[in-house]
Amino acid sequence: MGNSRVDFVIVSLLNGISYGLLLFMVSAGLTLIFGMMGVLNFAHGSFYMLGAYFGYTLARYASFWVALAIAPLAVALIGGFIERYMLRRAHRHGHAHELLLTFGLFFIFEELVKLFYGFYPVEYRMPAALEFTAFSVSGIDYPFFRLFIAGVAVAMFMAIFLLLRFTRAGLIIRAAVHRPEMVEALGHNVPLVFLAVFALGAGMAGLAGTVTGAFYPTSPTMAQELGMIIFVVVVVGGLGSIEGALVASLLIGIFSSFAVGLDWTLADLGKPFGLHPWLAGLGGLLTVRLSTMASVVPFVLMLIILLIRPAGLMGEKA
Amino acid sequence: MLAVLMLFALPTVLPQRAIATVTQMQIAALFALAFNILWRQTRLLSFGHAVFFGIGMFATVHAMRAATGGAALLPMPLLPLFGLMAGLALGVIVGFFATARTGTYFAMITLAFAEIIHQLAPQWEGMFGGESGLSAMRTPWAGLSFGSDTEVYYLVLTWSLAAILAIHYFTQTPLGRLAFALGDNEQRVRFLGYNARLSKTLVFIVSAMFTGLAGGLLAVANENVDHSIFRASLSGQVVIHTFIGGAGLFFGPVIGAAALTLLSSMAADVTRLWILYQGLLFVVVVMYLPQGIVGLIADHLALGRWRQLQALLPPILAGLAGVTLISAGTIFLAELLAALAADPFARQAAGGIVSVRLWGATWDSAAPATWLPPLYSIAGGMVLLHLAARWRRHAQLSPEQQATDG
Repeated sequence: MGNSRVDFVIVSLLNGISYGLLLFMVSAGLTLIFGMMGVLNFAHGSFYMLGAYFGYTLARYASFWVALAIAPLAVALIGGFIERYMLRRAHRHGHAHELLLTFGLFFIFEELVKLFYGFYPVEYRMPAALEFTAFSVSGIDYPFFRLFIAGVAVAMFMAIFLLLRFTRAGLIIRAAVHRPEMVEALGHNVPLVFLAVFALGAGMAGLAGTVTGAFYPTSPTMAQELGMIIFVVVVVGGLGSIEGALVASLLIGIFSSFAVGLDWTLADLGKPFGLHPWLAGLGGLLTVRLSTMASVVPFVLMLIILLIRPAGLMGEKA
Repeated sequence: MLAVLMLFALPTVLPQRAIATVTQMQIAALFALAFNILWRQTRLLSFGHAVFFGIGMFATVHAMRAATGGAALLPMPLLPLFGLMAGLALGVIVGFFATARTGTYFAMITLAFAEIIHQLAPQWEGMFGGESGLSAMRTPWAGLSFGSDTEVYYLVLTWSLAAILAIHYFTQTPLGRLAFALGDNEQRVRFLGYNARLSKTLVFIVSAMFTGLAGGLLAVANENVDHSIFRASLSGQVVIHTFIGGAGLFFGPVIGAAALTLLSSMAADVTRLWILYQGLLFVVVVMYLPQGIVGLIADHLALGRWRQLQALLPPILAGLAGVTLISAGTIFLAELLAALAADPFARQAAGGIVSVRLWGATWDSAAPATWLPPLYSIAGGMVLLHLAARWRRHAQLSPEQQATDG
């Protein structure tokens, strides 16, 4: 009995961390973009989806490793094009129009994917070389590829961290995230920085898609499913803060992973007071299990953060 | 006035199927108009408006079910009022929290609320009917059975006109004028002594109220509802309708929503790419036509006399021709690509080259004659638009027009 609970904790923890790192890969770019440009990129989930589909196509005609190298670059190029030729034009009409533009792009990408690849998930599989078990936990085999995804995320985080903290370009980017006008006044090419950050963010999301699409289903609804939750991550973590995005992603990832396996209800809160039977009898929201409510809790958290501390856990106070 | 008379006369000239479509158009138009109260006046962009529409629909369906069961609280034609009240109630809750922030944060709060409700609704089966939803029936009243599409059309028409008048009246009230001021410069409004938060919440409630009414009308028209009405894509659709039409004008969203709903019902049978075209149109409008299509037309009409418009005839014609060419070329390419992508096995079997049947003709995927015409069409259209823009700038306008000219 106790053994299975420990196993549940271990598996949930591992799943939670790997899912959280996946969320981080996608939301790192989004938080930089939002922090720097003030644009909430509705199409960021679409970059993730494009990475998966490009990876699928490249893996079919070449190999998974080629896909891993090329697909994120392709997505980064698309991101750069969007920033340079579309966002900048919409910027003239105000923040809201940028928001609307990215919103429209989200629709377009989803429909384009449906056009070229169909409505149903495609058979994007991991390469046979990586398809083995890492270890076993109470009879359940833990696939190595999950660790691979986590590894890619950690490597990406290290790369971005080193870039931002120890290079001159990183310094300029960080400054432009917080004080774009001042950086421009100091003579730097801020529009180029914006372009680079947007492309970089898109590329990171694309990389996440290329890697994860081989494990999870690759379908046209990927963007919508992930798109909402990365907003939560970005808001909770704090706009512009990579560290915040990491903390928030892990938080939400681990929580979602645990919650899915737990059958607690609000009525359970009454157990120590002997009120459980009465509360359970009231029905309605009090008896909804945590496992079914799991998807709602991150949004409630996002709401609370937006209302109480919009800067997020680790963002700077506006 | 003439338009109203025409609307009342419409069912006499249209076939039954079309009448139902026009009813849907009116409801979409009212939804967009109610949504735009928030944007046009207070510059608040709500991405979760489907929840008010949905709650209005559910409230009205519940009321209709109660009426069938004999416990009617109101006569049948007045049942959409329950939708209005439900929208109002939910608007109080969401509005109170959402107006705590502005801009993108406001949009995210509305998004969060919408997602929460959308995720919770399937769990609350008593209220939202679970997977199969709830259905109801229109009950007879005052000799009318409300069984035919025509009677539903007139009911919806009456409500829509009343709502449009009410919303227009709202823009003239002190709160309505204050809403414009809030959209302009909220800080100044606060310095003038008003409670900006309270005012924004009230405007939000008005918008949610009329959205709930629109939902109630759809409940009467469709007689059933399920929790998918809360989906994010419906919230997105009203945004698209509003901005393609023109969010800066009172009637922009109305015409935009009506036109797009009509096109949607016509196009859905012909092509499965309709949503793509809508998205492309939306992006083009956001980038190049911030005043919307109705706004563009209104700008030209504002120039008044025919003689003045004559000066603009070349750019207008060139613009229309350019748009037509670009649209035709894009649609052709998209449909061609879709037809090619639809059957990958045939493609593989034929060694990559395949013939596609489109619009009665056969097109060879390898032939330049298949790809060049649409590309030329798009390129030609772009050239025409460029010329139109240049002629527009150089057009001989009188000084008084240059003053009114955007």
